[in-house]
Amino acid sequence: MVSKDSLLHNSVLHLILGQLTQLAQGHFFSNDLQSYIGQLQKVLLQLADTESEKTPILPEAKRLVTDAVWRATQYLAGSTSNRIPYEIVYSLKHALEDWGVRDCVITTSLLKSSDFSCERINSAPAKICAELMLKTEFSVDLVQVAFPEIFEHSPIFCTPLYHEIGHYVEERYQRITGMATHAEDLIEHLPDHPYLNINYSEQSHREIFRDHSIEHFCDIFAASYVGECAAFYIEQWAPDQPFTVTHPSTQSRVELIHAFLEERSSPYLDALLETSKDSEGNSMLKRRFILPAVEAFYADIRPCEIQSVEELHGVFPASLAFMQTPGFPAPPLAPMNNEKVAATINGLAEKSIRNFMIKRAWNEHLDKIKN
Amino acid sequence: MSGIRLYVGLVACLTLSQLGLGCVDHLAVTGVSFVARKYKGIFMTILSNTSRQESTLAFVRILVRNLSANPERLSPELREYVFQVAHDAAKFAQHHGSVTEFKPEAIELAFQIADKPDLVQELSGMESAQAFNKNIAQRLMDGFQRFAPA
Repeated sequence: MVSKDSLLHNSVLHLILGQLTQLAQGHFFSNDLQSYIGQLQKVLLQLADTESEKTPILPEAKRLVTDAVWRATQYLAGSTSNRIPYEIVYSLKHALEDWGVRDCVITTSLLKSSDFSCERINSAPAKICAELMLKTEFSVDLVQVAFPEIFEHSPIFCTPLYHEIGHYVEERYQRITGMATHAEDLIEHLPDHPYLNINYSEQSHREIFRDHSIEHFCDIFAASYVGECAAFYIEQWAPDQPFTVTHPSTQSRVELIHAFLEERSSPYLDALLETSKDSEGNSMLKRRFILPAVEAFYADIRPCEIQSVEELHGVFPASLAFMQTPGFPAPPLAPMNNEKVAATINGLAEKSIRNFMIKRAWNEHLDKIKN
Repeated sequence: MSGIRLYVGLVACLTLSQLGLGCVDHLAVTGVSFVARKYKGIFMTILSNTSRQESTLAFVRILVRNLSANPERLSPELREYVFQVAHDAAKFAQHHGSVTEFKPEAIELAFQIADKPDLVQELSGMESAQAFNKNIAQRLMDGFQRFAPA
């Protein structure tokens, strides 16, 4: 007999279990995701079992886990629909590995709106289950990102996802929150400091400092991989966005990105770089891309030959620059209108990355056979 | 046309709310239910936090709340876990250690309590999970309330 108080949650739990069973019958391109679904099913069965009070779990905690699994299901469903932007997900995975995140799978959800987002780290069930001490071992962690559906085949316009995984990195390590805990002397150097209301409490100033610093960190994180693309989207989509308590103004964001790319120094930027040092004292926020020479390829409407992971990240800003260069596109792209050129170059960037993925997977396979 | 109806509905809502009446329900019985429902759909959600994501501290908050009200509901493992997070948070707030040494939730908690030296002192002074009693948990809960409503 289900108690009156847990009727809704128990029903949700069983409905999600049904969805997961359906998902498990689908085809995943990743074995990790397939096994993750199996692990989620085990968690839900374990939670359902707590109704019998064999293993009592706090009801609020149970709701948290159920909600986490529900959210995860949405992203897992998105990742079975064969509509994953594999090329950018592949690039993001390399970026995460640079930051020591190797035990993860990126799942995606397509949005009808213009938003890009990353689920908070504790929205991924593995994290909550570990805290709850549920006896379920997850082999990987989920990085759950969402982006506008209309950019499904426009990798250059999906580069805000680099900013989003910056949020994941921050949530995982809390480096910026750690900096903000002891940042009394730095608040006055915050780019939007002149707009801080003097009537705000000291605590509000600290919170604004933390939230803005996280956004700036994510911008610099993105810029370290995709250069100008990190500024492109916010500059074009929200050019006049003013200072808010949660987000810096577009102007200060773009200025800081340019300061980073031009290697200019400022107390605030230096603090962000200092906070992001590895165990050997080198800042992890450094230029991690090389611009491939896309012109020669794209002018002939051919995918570019990417030679390295640095060029893999660099193909985004190089392609964007190609789109924006005066005098380009040269023939045969010249007769096309802007819209067609953008679609064509996005397509070429997508194919360039896909070729690199295939070549690399092939080489890795050959290396394995040799060894 | 629907724009005009929406405008009329909004004015009615504001007027009724100024009179202390629950506008949506009252409009529903005054013949402009379409507008009222539209108003509700555009501007309101069933819960204020429907789409809000919980912070990294969501689970810690649940444990602290239980510790302050019904400590017997926590298993020894969970008591040990929440003690460790609170203790580490206090240590970090007192400038001991670096972010890499602590769990992410301890760093986030440290940020929230950093401007409460008395609470930090009390939490850092705890030597075991048994010392994390109802009173301390309640004071930590009070600190939470200001920043992240449940």
